[in-house]
Amino acid sequence: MNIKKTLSAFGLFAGALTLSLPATAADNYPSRPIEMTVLFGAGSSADLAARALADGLSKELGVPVPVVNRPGGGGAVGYSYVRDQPADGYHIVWNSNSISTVHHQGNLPFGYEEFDAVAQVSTEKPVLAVRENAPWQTLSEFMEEAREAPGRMKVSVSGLGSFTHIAGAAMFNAGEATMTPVPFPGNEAVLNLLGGRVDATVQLPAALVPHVKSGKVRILGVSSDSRLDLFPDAPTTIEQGVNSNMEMWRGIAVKKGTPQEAIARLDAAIKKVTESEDFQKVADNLAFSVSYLPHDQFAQVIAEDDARIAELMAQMASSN
Amino acid sequence: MNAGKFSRGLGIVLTLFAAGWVATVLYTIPESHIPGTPGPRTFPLLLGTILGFLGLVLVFSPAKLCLDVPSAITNREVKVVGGTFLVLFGYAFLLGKIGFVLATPLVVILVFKVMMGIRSWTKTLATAIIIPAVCWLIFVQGFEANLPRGTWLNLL
Amino acid sequence: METILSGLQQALSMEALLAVFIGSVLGLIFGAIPGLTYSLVLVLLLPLTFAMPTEAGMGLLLGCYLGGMTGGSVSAILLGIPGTPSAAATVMDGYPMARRNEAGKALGTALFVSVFGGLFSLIIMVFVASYIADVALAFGPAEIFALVLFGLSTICGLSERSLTLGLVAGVLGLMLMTIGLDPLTGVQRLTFGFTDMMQGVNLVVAMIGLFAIPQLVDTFLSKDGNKVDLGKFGKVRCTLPTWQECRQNLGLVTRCSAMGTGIGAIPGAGGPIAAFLAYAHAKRFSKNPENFGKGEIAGVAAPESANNAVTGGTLIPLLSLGIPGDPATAIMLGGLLIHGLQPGPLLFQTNLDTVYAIYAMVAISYIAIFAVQLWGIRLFVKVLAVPGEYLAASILVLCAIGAFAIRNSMFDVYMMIGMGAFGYVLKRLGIPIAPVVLGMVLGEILDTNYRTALIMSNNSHATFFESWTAMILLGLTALTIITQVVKRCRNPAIPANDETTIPNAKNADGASAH
Repeated sequence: MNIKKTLSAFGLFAGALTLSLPATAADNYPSRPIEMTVLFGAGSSADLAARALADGLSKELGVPVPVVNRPGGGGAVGYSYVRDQPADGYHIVWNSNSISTVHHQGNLPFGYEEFDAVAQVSTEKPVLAVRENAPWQTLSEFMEEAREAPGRMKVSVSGLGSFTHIAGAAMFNAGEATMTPVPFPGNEAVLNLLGGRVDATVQLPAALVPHVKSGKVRILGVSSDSRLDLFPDAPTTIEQGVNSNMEMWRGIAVKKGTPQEAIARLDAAIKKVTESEDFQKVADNLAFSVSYLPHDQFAQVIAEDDARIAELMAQMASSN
Repeated sequence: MNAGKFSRGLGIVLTLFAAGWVATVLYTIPESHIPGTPGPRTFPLLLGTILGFLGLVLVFSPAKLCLDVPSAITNREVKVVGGTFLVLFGYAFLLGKIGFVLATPLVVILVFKVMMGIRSWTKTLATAIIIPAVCWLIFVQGFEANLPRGTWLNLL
Repeated sequence: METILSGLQQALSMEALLAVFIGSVLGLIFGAIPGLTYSLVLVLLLPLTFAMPTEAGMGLLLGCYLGGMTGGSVSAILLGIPGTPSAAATVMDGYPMARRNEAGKALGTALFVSVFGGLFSLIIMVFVASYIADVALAFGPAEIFALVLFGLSTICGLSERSLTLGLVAGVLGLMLMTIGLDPLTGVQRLTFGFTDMMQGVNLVVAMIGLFAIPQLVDTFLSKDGNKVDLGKFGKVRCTLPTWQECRQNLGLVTRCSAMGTGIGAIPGAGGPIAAFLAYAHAKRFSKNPENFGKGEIAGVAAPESANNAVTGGTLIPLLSLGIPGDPATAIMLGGLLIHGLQPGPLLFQTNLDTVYAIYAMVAISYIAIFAVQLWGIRLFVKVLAVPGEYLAASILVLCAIGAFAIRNSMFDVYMMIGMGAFGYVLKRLGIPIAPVVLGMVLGEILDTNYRTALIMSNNSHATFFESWTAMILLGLTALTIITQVVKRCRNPAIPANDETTIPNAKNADGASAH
């Protein structure tokens, strides 16, 4: 009896509160906090970059931009969450190529088409690296040996079907060779290169910074058409005749159908943040490149990349 | 119930579960991408088999095993345990619907009144307000953390 | 010498000192509160450190990590709910001690050995870090697999009553961890197509459910008085261990600290393995092994010294290789990177002062922990006198927050409750919970390292017998299993235990008498 009474009292109280919630309108966007979903756990370098961006955005837009980590399923959990929210511009996602890899791996029932691109923020160029005392001096030498004995080259990657695996596969494809990808969870891919148990590793530069700087690890090829600012001595794949160019991009996306005004407002704010010195400093510390692209060009990048990743993953699946 | 019966019963349940597990694994997890090497299904299969084996050990050699026979389930235990999990699932459900700030007082009142049989309303209501308020202050105000928010209505 | 001084100067700046102190206290408190873990508070604190000076930010995170590892034993001992997975082994003897009204002694011992283990690992870190880092590099998938198998073999020692039930529990724990996305291939396992299930079973979430919810049920079951439950004691004594008692276990604690430091340095292994191995070690070499599980002081001292020694161990690969060994050090790596410090071999050349500052902060943190906790024990012990309804309501709410906030996931709240139901059923059937936790801790590492080792060796099992490290560990595993099986075959009937091991059966008996 008492419980019932209490419950109904709470019901009344709660009803009164719903009425007072602010109505959302596109013209005065943003009028309340914008929540940024991050697909990784706190502390990873992608998470740190997202937090730096959110910090800048909050100053630009004048509303708080809390970062909420929703890791799991290689990004599937976070993407699904944002897709299930209203398309009002108050739920944004720090996205990356993972939208394509997770989708084509069969772990996400929908693809990039469910989101509207807002702006590209950063890129990271995967590199192929070997130990300092490895016999190969150039990528061509390495590829030649890999061609002669197919599958002899053990290359550590961060999980099969992960971006580093796909980027590695693209490199070996272009070099007309094959590798044996050895999947490792977390940072152990680098550890096992240092420990001498694999011949090479494909990683994003951030994972290799201390080891390249101390000379324990050499970069044979940067998967790009331009060199890294961080390691200007490391040659690219393209300049060594291996025609593979896959970059990890990251940016902001919102649910499909978000008002154009909100996207434009966010895009402009992101552009400002990426131009700031503070953000550039974070990029230097975390070893990624700031590379802003407005929403229309970003949408194009996502679509093109998706097609390439789909093709590569289909090829990888059939070759095994 | 004696130790032999208990051991047999437990063994049968475990063996059946293991069989179901193995069937599910075979049916839903693909084989390794490299033929012949252990793949994603190797480990679950192995574990299911071991559990099935242990179940059979319990079924067929009950005399040698030294088990404590659990006491019989009383009506009171059924009520209390059922009540506890009703409260817990109800709390989880409410957290998703009306958010932390509203769901928590309700659950504290339930715990005090129904589960613990506390008579004093003053004590109950005071706790029902203080616990969520302190948590909210520490997590939302102090750490700027995220507490469960409701989809029906939300106060955070 | 100059760098040492400048490092100390940095560490001893007022801000940094304050940060280390606050971090240690926060860690202690969060570790001590059931449902909340230091992993959670690290996640919450990380963004706050961005705006701080480097040393202060680092000190806050470091203090929190060390404090949390120490504080985890508090709720393990007082309430039977470990405050971190690494304290799961502490429950086995700490909780029975608290129920004998020896909480003060258990907490005091845990504090002394935690600080000892932590400082021991600090000394190792300062003097032989580079050597230990090489050890970490020597551990490939085959060696880690062998180590994990050795860890699993301790299940034999954890299941006093029935080896079969202990193995059942261990296998169930291993099975739970296969649910979710396979970390190596990204294939869904036993998710039944649900996106939420791809998150898998989070260890911290599962641990909260497994331990806290059965305690909650017990409290509700015995609300009318004299049964075993939360808040049972009217008056609690707080007696710290005597100097004599500390000295008795000095050898054991030193060995366990060394073990903890070594295991901590191997990325991916971590605290819980060290704690369980230390517990098994203490039991095997004890003069009275039959007392383990009933409130033996060595059963608290061994895992607590080992899990705090792990903290120094994990900092070695973090600082010297830039590779974090567990989620806590991964967050600390983030804290260093955002301030422009790149851990790795070069850190010791270019930022030696920072390295010394970190060493100094570890020492300061342990001094702070010791001082605060020595006083805090008296306060914490009073928890036992708090009426059950307040404890039950707070624990329920905190468990929900703790499960949710780790990954901002309602799925985890439901998972925590589900694991609670699982834990209650196990407890009721007399199946031990510690092996489940051990299985969960080791499941993923065992699976991934086994497969990776075989991928690298082109599917040749000989790879597990190629290095001395793996051979020795596999030999120890075989030895443990054989001696246990022989012992059990010779003496299959083990005398019935007293109430401490099967509280629930007693409890329900009592309840039914009403």
